[in-house]
Amino acid sequence: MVQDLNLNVAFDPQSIAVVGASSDDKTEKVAWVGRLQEFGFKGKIYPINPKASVILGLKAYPSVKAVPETIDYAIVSIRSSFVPGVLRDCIAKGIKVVHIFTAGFAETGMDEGKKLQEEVISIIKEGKIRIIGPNCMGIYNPKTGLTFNIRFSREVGNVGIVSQTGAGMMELIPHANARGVRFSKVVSYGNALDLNAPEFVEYLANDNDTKYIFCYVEGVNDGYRFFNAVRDCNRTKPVIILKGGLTEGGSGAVSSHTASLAGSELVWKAFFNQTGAIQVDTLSEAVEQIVAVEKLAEIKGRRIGIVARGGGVGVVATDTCERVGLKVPALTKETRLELAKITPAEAGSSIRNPVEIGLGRFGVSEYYAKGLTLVADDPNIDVVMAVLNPHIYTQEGIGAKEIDQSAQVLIDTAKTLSKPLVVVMTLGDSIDVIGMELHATETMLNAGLPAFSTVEAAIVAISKTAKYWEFRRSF
Amino acid sequence: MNNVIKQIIDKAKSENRNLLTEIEAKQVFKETGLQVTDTRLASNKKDAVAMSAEMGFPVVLKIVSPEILHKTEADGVKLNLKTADEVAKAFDEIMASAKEKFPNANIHGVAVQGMAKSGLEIIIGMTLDAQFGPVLMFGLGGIFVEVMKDVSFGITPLTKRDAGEMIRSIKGYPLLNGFRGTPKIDVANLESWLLKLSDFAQTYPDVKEFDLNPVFAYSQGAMVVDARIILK
Repeated sequence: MVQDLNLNVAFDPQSIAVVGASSDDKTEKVAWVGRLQEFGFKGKIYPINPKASVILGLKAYPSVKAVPETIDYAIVSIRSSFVPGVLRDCIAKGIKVVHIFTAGFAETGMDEGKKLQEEVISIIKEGKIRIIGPNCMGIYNPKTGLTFNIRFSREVGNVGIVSQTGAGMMELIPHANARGVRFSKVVSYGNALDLNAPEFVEYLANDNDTKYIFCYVEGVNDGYRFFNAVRDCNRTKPVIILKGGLTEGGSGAVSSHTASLAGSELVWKAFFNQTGAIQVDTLSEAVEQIVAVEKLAEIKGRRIGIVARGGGVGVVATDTCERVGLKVPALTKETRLELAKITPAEAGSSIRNPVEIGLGRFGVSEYYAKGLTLVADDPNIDVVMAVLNPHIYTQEGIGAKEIDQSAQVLIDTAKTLSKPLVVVMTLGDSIDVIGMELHATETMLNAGLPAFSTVEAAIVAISKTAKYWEFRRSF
Repeated sequence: MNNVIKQIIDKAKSENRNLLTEIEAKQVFKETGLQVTDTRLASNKKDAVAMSAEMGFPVVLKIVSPEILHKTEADGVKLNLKTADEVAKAFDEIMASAKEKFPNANIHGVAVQGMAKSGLEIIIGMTLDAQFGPVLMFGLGGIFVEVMKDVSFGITPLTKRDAGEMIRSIKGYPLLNGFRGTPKIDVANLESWLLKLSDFAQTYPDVKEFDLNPVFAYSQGAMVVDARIILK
């Protein structure tokens, strides 16, 4: 596949014109020009505003045509009625890609907006310029300092995002950052009058910085190209997709059985079966799933070894696993004999699976790492999940030190295990304790351990990751 | 592109019809490489009786009219006719009720069809999806499709893996795999049919929808018992 050079220009421009930069420094400080400066954009910024001479210390120009140097990329944030004129100026200036932030096109449902949209489409059809948007947030690329929100991490990661929604990404990206996820390249593409999901997926599939892709799509105008792009990419880079608007559309008058049964939900089910892409249903599930695929190594099967408190905790976890297609098999007799030697002498500690190994009032016991190793080495097990509930022991004096020590034992042990380890540290009942637990969880995530705050989130994410690797192995 | 199929589609279009008759649809699928029940058009009673005798009793008679989509609504289907007299009587009854219930319909005659050996009822179909183009459907026929909607879809063109997944992903799959002494169905054959139909859907953009309903699936091979093709 040929790399689209125009998209490199968009993700890595040497110079950006901000058309519609406000002449009020206070306003612009939190808008496009200020955001690029604050985020450390390394290239040149040209504010465009006919009424200003200087904006945030940068020389302003009345139009892109007045800028003496070449411009790679433009961000347009002016009234929609001015957009067609600005696009013609951009073409005259030789700008290759324009991000139209402005809303107010066909999505308004008004005649004026539809007419403007038609005009923009006719300009695109001339073939001299590529458009991202309109009505979108554009690009976030921490490597080049391009962003639509200064709260996003400035560290470069390996997760790429192709998203119709910008608002959803303002929610998802900070949450993912807090879970130790860093991004390579992100695009919010809005109305997609020109560049659309397939082009961006094809681009990220070939992007060396991107190892995992998350997509949020509602509709795609070239479904078949999107299908092929995802199918090809998913064989080498996991693709996670949240399909928005998955409800049955009115099917109108249909005359065959097949047409009356083919709701969009069933066809999208086929899409996921055939491409092997990982389907998620909510933005928060998307974050959990990104954590899982990014931080878990290949899972060789669906058999999980659970190390958790005994009784109901283990029983409920087992039921949840079985419900989503994971297996919780009994450990071998050999493993159980070894475990019996290290579990507390008191009666009732389970060693069958789930396994209970002394995690008590002194943090993780010295036998904990040994127990995890025994479970991981069991031939019946493909992945190990350790569930910790430190807050249960806070009444008995356990504190931040013990919780951090537990996290460190897990980080160190995970490196030596023969199978992938997933950690769940559930959250306690007071702000203080929750803070300690979140801190320990963050430490584990930053050390590359897939760590979650609920058993359910972990199990669903593990199950979908296992299914993904089954798909990869089926070729 | 197959010439016979192209001619059938072109003929219907030239007559401004978007529905192929059952006989035309079966001929199309026969050319596609599927097994279909021997079905011939009899425009009068004498031909119907002669064809029945030639095919061997029992036979089925069905009304043939581009305007009658659901044949049972016109009382247009008579099953298990065992003698020449029964065929003659059934022919008259079908023609009479069709003329009464669909007075404006253009009636080609009656289709004479041998009774297929019964098998596991399957439905296979195609429709155009607004986003993905031709999508194929596979499911168990009869009440399973009517009540349980136990069907799977596949975006075309299908790979061999996709075809296998479509069949295995329906809930009723154990019924194909030999359940409580029923014969194991020839799944490899159904897979090859899905692949042939995927090619067909890709090759003839004039086809908007089709149903093969029912298909009788056997431990070896399968048979299309009824078929419908709708053009754009």
